[in-house]
Amino acid sequence: MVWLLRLAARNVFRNTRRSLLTTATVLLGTAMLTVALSFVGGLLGGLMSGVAATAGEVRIVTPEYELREALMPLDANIAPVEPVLEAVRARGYAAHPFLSSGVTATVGEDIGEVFCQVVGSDPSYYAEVLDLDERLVAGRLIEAERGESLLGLALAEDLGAEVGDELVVLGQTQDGSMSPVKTTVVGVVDVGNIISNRQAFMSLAELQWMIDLEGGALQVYVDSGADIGGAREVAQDLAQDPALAGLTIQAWNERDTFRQIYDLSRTIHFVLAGGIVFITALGVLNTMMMSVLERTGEVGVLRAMGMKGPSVVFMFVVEGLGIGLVGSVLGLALGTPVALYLQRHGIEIGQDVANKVAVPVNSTFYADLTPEIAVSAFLLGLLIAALGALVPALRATSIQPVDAMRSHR
Amino acid sequence: MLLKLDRVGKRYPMGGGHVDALKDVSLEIQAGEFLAFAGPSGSGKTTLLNLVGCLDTPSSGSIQLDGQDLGRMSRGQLGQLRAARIGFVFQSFNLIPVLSALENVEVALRLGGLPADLDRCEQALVDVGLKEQLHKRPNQMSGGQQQRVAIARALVKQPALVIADEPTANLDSHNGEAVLDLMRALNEDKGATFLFSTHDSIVLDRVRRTVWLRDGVVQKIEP
Ligand SMILES: Nc1ncnc2c1ncn2[C@@H]1O[C@H](COP(=O)(O)OP(=O)(O)OP(=O)(O)O)[C@@H](O)[C@H]1O
Ligand SMILES: [Mg+2]
Repeated sequence: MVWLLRLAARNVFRNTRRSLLTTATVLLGTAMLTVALSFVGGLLGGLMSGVAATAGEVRIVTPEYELREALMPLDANIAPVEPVLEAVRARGYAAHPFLSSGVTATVGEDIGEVFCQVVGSDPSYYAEVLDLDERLVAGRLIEAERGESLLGLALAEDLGAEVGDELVVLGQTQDGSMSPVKTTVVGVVDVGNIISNRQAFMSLAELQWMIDLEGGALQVYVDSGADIGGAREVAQDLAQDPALAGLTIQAWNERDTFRQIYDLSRTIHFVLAGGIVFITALGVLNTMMMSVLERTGEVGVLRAMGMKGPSVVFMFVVEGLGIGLVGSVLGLALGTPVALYLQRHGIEIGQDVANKVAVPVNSTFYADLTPEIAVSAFLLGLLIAALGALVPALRATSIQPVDAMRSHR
Repeated sequence: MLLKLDRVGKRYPMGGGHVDALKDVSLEIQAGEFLAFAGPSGSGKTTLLNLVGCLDTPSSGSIQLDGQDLGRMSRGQLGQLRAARIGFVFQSFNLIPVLSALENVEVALRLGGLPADLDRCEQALVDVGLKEQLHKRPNQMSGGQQQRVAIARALVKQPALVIADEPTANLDSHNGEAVLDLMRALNEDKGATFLFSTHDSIVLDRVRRTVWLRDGVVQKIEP
């Protein structure tokens, strides 16, 4: 076996130009994989942390709310919410009560023209989590206990609303009665994504009044201030608190939406990596096939002298892997600086595009080159070489000893 | 008796029909022979060598090597027999270009399932007069030297039989004669059996027996 390895290794250096071509193919594949995987990883990671940041690293709801979440059930609420907030804060985390409801909104004379979502939370959620103070386009943040509202940029445009206008929203109470609320628009914010930009923001008390849910909330968002990767530990910690018994405590990545994004990211990775591997493997196949055909006489002799089919395959695949090893290392060496550049500087997609995406994203996408990505790009580079060599290697086993007799160079 | 062929036929499919490359060939070959299959192009020389070299199987008739019926063996068994007992010398040498002369010889031992005894490989190369070329690669050697390496490679496992298909076709007459004289000497000193296919008089002048073929049929055997 060792001598066969040695033979395969020597074959790597046999036709320098062809080996360089194969190396370049694997190099290109590995480099593309490094950049593409870290970019997609960064993009989806950014997407997920963006969502996690605004929708709570961990959230607390009632079990019924989770069950019927799509219907936005107002009666599946946490009331009173204060003990829950206190229990969370006692463990050293920030806690924000959160309410939201579908309403029709009107400014001026038009009645019930625009359907939208109204959000109610405390000032710290708006300032610290949504960063609305930095996202003001006009006016100011909510200051009064009641009677003031902020509009997302898109909603303000739809309504033709300006700061100082009177906004009437028609919502429902938790038992289904009509419930109108009148506020003054004090500011317009550009939250940076299409969903939030179509929302109206009000004080907690305003929404509690509208829903007829004094002292209650639909959800509680928990923020540990640490990395969102630790969300599950935070959720586990909270689950031990007797004051929170009977409530559903979910880390962001335990929720359905995030699982969908996660699955999507897996699929994108798989398709992307598969595509790159397939195309570059075809390139390797091409050059390795030439080597096999060129060595017909030689392979025939080895067969005549007793070399078995698996050894023939082994010999060519090892040769391919030898070339692939060099290509993978070089590909990684080339792809890493590119990925790191994209990690530092990112690619600007423009706020216009970012605003059209349905989830909160930044207008700049950053790559995220993790050790896992580097390792998988390297291994996939080897896979490219192995796959590309396998078909020609199998073809080589069909060379019969008599072919050596008849091959006259 | 080393080889016994009994009414051996070989038929190749060709277009819609077929070609009979060999018809009813019966022949006996003793151990230690130095023998050539001769005849015009297409007469079946290579086909016959392939059959006795266990590279191919006959369509009809039977071949016995050392009393074993080759027709009863599986492909795998034939391969093993070939690796252990038969040496090959090809017209185009077919050395492995990335290996030195010594390593090329070593490969035959490895594939024959024999211990890779380097002294033995070296001796085989000394026997063919390549004492000084042990570590040269094929492209650093002349055609005659390459063919000698091929001969050393064929002989190192001390095979029952060495098969050589037109061994002089790619050599000039001087090298051809030298290679043939070498094989004749190895035949006499070591008792190795050599079977050739050829139309070259260099070979025909030096063999002890010639089997003349024409259109797949044995015409005459000299002497
Ligand atoms: N694999 C094959 N398929 C079909 N026909 C074949 C095959 N091998 C040989 N033949 C035919 O069998 C006949 C004998 O061929 P063979 O190669 O044995 O002749 P040869 O005496 O060695 O000729 P040469 O002196 O040209 O080498 C020829 O007619 C040839 O065309
Ligand atoms: Mg021939």
